[in-house]
Amino acid sequence: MSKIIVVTSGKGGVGKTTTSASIAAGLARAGRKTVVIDFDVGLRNLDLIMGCERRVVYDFVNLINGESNLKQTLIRDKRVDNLWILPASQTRDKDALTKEGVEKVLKDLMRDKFEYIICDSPAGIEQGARMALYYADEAIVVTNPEVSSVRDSDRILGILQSKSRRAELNQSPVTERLLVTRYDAERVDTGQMLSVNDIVELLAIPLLGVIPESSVVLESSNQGRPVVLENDSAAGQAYDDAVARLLGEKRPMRFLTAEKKGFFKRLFGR
Amino acid sequence: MSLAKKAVELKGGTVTLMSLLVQSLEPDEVKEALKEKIAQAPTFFGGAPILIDFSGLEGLNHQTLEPLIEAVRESDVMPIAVRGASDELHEKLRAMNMPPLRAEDKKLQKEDDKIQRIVGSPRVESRPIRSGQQVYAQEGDLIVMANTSAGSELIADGSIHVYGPLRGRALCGVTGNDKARIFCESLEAELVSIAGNYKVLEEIPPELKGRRVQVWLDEQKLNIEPF
Repeated sequence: MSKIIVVTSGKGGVGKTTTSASIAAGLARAGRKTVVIDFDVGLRNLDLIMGCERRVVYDFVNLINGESNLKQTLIRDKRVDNLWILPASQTRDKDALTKEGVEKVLKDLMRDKFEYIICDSPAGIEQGARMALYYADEAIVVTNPEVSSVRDSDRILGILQSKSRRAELNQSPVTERLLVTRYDAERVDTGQMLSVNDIVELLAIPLLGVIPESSVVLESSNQGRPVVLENDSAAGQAYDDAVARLLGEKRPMRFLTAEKKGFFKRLFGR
Repeated sequence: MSLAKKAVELKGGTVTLMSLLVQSLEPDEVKEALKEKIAQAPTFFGGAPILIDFSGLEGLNHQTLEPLIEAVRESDVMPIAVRGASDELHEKLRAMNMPPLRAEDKKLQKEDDKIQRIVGSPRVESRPIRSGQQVYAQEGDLIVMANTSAGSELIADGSIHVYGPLRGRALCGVTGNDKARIFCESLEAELVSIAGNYKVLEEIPPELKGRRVQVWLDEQKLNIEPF
């Protein structure tokens, strides 16, 4: 049975694509056959983050329109086994995504025995985002520790519970999980950012993980490498924890407190 | 700001009061009948405050009014107000220290009945109400057993109960039921409204925020109080 997981947020720039890439790579590394789909038609980014932008031939919209088949369109990741990428079309817009078209592609992927289908949602609450979440069994809601991001996440949670297929067919609701990204414990301590507890309180959904703010995220994005593969970095480890929790493992939350600066560090900064 | 209690406070409420339905213009008849009644249960009626009700009594005028009031006053009850006297008699009643109450308007009562009748079965929501969601309980109460978010909208013809924080807008009695109320575990609402009378967050006293409160309407004035 395939599991369809949408990575969504409402707000843009909070780390949906970074998260999609890392969750997909983490699941694949754990031995699960995984595909990650870029739903951001017209603003294709996932291929860059995954470092496969030079190997894109066909795309999601080609597949929907029957202009290519799965084998031709899926891009196999070179670093991690069991991982495939389905890139978005750059020359089309979100209206190219229809319920029937998306369903056809998802069914093909299920027939191909993919265990996890990760849907990387575009920002907003319009056609693209709605198509990305429509068929979801589970949702990872990516939120930054600030009020506007929390409100937009709340909005998307409402849409998940009213506009998804599970909601429309009155099936068991989409499983919701919260992933807090760009978490800066120091700025939380000084009151500049919301704390994890505040966010969980406001959104009232279970916490999947907290990804600390880290320069490694940007560096690995630029290199086209999912940050989960950076085993030495806090952000990479935090994503690895999140993947383990997604697979049912219990791991304590890490990186929630600010690193205590030593005397010299305080004296000279950095 | 002084924290001392205010010397007076006005509060709305209903009290149970016996009303004496007068059906005769003869003071002696009234006095006699009343005496009999009191004799049946002196501890119950003796000295009890009562409302004199003239509804349905014909022939009441400036001449017949005073002896009737006096007859009641001379009995062992304490008349405190009069109902059902025509408007022309109100001034005379006030002169006699008998506050006149307006006769219950039949039409108003009917509308009251209608409002009572439309309050049917409640709508119960057990999942959080999110930003952008609108929930309407038609002809009944709305009960939410979870969080409600900023940017959500709760609407009910009846009352609204939130067993969690109320963070969005809550509008109850939207079809005109001014008896509808709002209850919540923690008041953080953007707006509360009863039968079209509303308050926005800015007008809600800060000391009430985050408190378990009820909101009700009294004479077009919204009251918010912890409970």
